[in-house]
Amino acid sequence: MDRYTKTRAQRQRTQNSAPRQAHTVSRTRLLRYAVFAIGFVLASRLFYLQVIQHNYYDKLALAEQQKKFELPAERGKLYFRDGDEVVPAVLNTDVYTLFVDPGEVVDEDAVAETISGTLGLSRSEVLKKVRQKDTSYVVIAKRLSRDTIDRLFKKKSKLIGVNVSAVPQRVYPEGGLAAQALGFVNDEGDGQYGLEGALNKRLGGISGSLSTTTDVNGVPLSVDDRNNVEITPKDGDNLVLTIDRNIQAKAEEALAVGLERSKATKGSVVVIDPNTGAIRAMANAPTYDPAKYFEVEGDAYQKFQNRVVSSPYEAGSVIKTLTMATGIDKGVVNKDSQFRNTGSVQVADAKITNVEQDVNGTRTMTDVLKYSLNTGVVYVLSQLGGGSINQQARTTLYDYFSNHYGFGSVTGVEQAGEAEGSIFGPDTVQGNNVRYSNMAFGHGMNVTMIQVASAFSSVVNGGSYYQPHLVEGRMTESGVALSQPPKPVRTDVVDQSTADQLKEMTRTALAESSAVSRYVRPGYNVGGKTGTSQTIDAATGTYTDDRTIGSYLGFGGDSKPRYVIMVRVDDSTIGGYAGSAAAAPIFGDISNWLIDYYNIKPL
Amino acid sequence: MAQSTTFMMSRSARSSAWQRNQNTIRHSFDGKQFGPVAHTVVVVLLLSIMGLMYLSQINKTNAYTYPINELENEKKTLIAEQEALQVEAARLGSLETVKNSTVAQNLTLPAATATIE
Repeated sequence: MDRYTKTRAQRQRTQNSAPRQAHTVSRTRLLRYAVFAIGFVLASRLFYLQVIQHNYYDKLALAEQQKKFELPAERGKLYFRDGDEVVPAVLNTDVYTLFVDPGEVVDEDAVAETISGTLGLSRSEVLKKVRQKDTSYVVIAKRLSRDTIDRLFKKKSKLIGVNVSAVPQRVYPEGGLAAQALGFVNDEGDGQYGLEGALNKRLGGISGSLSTTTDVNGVPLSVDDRNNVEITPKDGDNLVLTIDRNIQAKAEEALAVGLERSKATKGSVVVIDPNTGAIRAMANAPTYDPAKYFEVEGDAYQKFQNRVVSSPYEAGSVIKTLTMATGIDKGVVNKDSQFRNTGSVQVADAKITNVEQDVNGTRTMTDVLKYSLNTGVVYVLSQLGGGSINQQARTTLYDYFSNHYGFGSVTGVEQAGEAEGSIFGPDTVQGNNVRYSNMAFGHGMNVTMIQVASAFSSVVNGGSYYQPHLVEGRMTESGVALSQPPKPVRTDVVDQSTADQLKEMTRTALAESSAVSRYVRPGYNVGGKTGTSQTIDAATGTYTDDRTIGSYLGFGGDSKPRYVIMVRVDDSTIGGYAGSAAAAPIFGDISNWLIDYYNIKPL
Repeated sequence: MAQSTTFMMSRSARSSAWQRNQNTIRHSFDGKQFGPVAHTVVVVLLLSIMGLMYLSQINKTNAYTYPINELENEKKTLIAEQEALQVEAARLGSLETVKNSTVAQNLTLPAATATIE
């Protein structure tokens, strides 16, 4: 019997079991349908959730798992010059803000005890903050050092609920040196005043960010690189300044001593390299410590602002040097030209008089600077007009003051809040003959010290106007990367002959002025001019001698000028004219020191 | 598909068969083959193994982020310490510190000397 041949008995058994088999198949099918139906429902649901609703749940999950971290850019550091070397002027460090989440605090007394014991704070004050249950962020202390935090968190077990956050802060290794020129950075990280304010974006850099999947503790995971997006921060530029810390320190010291001697309320000094426009020092008094700017009391603005660039004033007789340069450059006078000094001159309805009344008679243009004769520069103005003060005279003087010397517009020095000053045009109602006669000796117009010092630099260097600047280059990982040598903005301010004559005239004016020459080391190529300007009484609106501003503008060097110094002293109470009694000694002090510092040879 | 070959011809017949290029192979099923269920199971198993391998690798990769995180924190600490040292070095080299140093305090002015003109 082969395997395909069934016996009768077998067939019989098969026939008898047929109804039972049919019943079993029906149940199995039912179960199969049920399983299929459940599977279909589950598959449909999964399809709905995973395919149709994919984007919705994907976003929901990402929102839960992904965090965005800010990657802060480091603010650029600043460096002073120290001769040929560079030294840090402004660095960065982290200070710490200590805060508490009162809801998380387990033992209030232990927290208060530990913090007050380590930081020296009042225990009750700390306890009061720890008990503020209506908030989850209460600041206990700010600007704590790393050492303090390390000491505090040695007792970590007692500080549950207490946390710290790092806050970048500027550090000034040289203390308050050049405080106004540097400015400061406030709690929000924004540069204020000075260089910090002017170059805030360049110094601040660009923050980056990191969007990443994290674990429950906020630790970034690399599980999903598709969604990890990192934008690298771009740190701010590290800048090398033109300020020489030795010259700056000397300028500040000389200014402080000078103000003390003349019992003046405030003063400023600027020292410029006339051959490049590089500012070597900018000092202001009274001053402050930029690391503690938040502790400055009283009229903080007066201390924060760099008055060299932001406080225009009537500079007075120092401007005579520039009027004289104009006359010489236009060929209407020279250093030996003579005029008849009568002690006063009538211009329209105004009588302009000299301070020195005992030098009447025939005087040279050099005498005009030596005795500071107002009538002398009014004479120069009239010569610009062909013999009388007229439209031509006004237009010519305005052209030099405005276009050659840059008065009435900002110099572009890297300082926040630079003022442009004001100068009336020759065609305006205010720009009349009387106004221009006054402008010839520095009244009737407002200029900043940086404008005057830059203009004078352009005259003594032979006629090239350089933009005054504070940034010399960048500090890179490989060292100092200096910027391109500065190019003059104009090269036709005055010609070389004018420069030579004016230097000689100011040198003679200084050497032969008994009130000033005693402060300056004799035998060197140093020249200058005093200026004493009246101020306007706020109550009466008229000029007053009660409050004057003394100025001194001068240069020094050997075969070529090496430095230009301008000094301003406000409200001095010392006897004599403020220009010679209060400002000139400060100029002399700095100039004598610079002769040694630059190793300048005598004439 | 399994296959077996059975030789049932005499030598002469075989010889003539080969010569005539006749088909001498017989195919038959032995019943030991993978059906669709077995295929599915194998595929599911393979997918599961691959999934497990994927999870294992991802987990291993993620585990590296913790030491990386620790190293980054350590780096931050070292950078902070470096900055603190730079600040301290700058402070020690500042004009004010130099001026107030013992060396500077003990400096004396040089004595005046005669000069021959």
